[in-house]
Amino acid sequence: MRARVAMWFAIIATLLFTACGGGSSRVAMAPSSMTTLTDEIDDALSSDTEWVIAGSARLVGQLADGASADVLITADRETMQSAIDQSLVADEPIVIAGNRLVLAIAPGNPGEVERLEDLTSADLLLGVCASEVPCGRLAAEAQATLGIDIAADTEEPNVRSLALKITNGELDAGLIYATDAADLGLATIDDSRLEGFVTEYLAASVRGEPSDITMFLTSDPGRRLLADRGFTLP
Amino acid sequence: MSAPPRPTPKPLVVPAALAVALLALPIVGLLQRAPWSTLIDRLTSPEILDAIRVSLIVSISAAVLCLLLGLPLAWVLARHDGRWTAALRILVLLPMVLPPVVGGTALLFALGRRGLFGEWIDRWFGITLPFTTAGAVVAATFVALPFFVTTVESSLRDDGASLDEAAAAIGASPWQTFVHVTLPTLRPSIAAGLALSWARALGEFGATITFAGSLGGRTRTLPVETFLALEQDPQTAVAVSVLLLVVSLVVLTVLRGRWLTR
Repeated sequence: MRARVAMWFAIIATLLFTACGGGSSRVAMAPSSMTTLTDEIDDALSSDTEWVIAGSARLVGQLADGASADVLITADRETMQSAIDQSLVADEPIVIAGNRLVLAIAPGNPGEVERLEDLTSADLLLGVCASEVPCGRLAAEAQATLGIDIAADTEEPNVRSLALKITNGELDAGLIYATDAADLGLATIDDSRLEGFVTEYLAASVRGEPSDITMFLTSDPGRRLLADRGFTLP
Repeated sequence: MSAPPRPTPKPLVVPAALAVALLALPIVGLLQRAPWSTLIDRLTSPEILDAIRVSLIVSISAAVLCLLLGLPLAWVLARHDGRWTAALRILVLLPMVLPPVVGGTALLFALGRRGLFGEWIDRWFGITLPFTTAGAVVAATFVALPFFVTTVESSLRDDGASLDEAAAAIGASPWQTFVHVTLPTLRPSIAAGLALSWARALGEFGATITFAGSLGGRTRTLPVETFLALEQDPQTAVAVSVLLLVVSLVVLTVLRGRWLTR
């Protein structure tokens, strides 16, 4: 009886310690839209990276709540500024990439969307990101500047969930990032008026040591990778 | 009614205390971060009032659907035995185990505009469930139904079929027996099942956002609003969480006081 209790204690203790013990790898916080880059970055760097992927604001929130990381990448300038204001990063952030807003349409274009103005139709199922997240802020900015009032049926909490709903045909069209359209193979409608709506990706070191992830992403191979995935380059 | 207190076996004390700490500490953490001075202002902003309205419509409709669909199902499960009933019981429990986001995705695959059945519903009736309040109700009912069915079924089993047999012996039809004999004895467990399924529907997030999306006044429920608020205005997210916490405390307290003690 006693032996069995001891055995269970040993098993539980082992599980707890394995779960808590972290390796010596670096920790990188990156926005959801960079998910598709992490494998290539891992391959390019010699040591392991533990990726923490979430919406930019949530990443900054995690840092403020005491999470530890080596490098922070945000999908817009405002979120990085809030990290600077809270003294969560140690050095001056640098711009590593940009992402354009594009009008993506569902496979087969069931809604027969031809131009931006079609997004004002209440008959179509349309989506944008919620105004609380960077892609939604950009979409709101575009609507206000261009004077187009999108008849959105959903304001998604992140660009990925929006892009997936367009991919599986539940939505006819939506404003998403060029990178997500490229990654999911979604057709987009070219409209030069959208070209000005770009969000900048900034990287900053959290502890003060220069990050080799930032160095890689600003090197030639890193820039080629970014461009290949639909990012614009600074 | 209650048994005389007994000394707690010593080895149970520490784990029990740890369990209490695990449950209570997050609540304490939430409450100490709550913006008490601006709580009312935050909870009466147009966005939050919209979300409260959507949440009430969705959760109450879901609870009613649980009653209308779940009560007959609970009866079937309680009064039958066999391989098929066992399989059915597992099916009923699945939404409790499935991550709600997966449940929502599965709902899209089945009832979405391009879904297996949704495509026909769309073509024949012109009804598209995703991105509508009705879609949010379907998602909430999907996750809440097990809570209603299991609560009522276990009570039906405890009461046994002897009363039913007695009613049948004096000539009552199965339907008369159900209405006049079974239903009255079930009232406490139906109330408990309703409260539990309503509370689950009120807190529902993952299946709703995946299946019904998020649009203010239509599908943006309080949990969805909370999730979005965390991005930019965490204080409001905490305020809404306090509201949800108070509502659940009231419901559970009333439940325990009125219905669960027999």
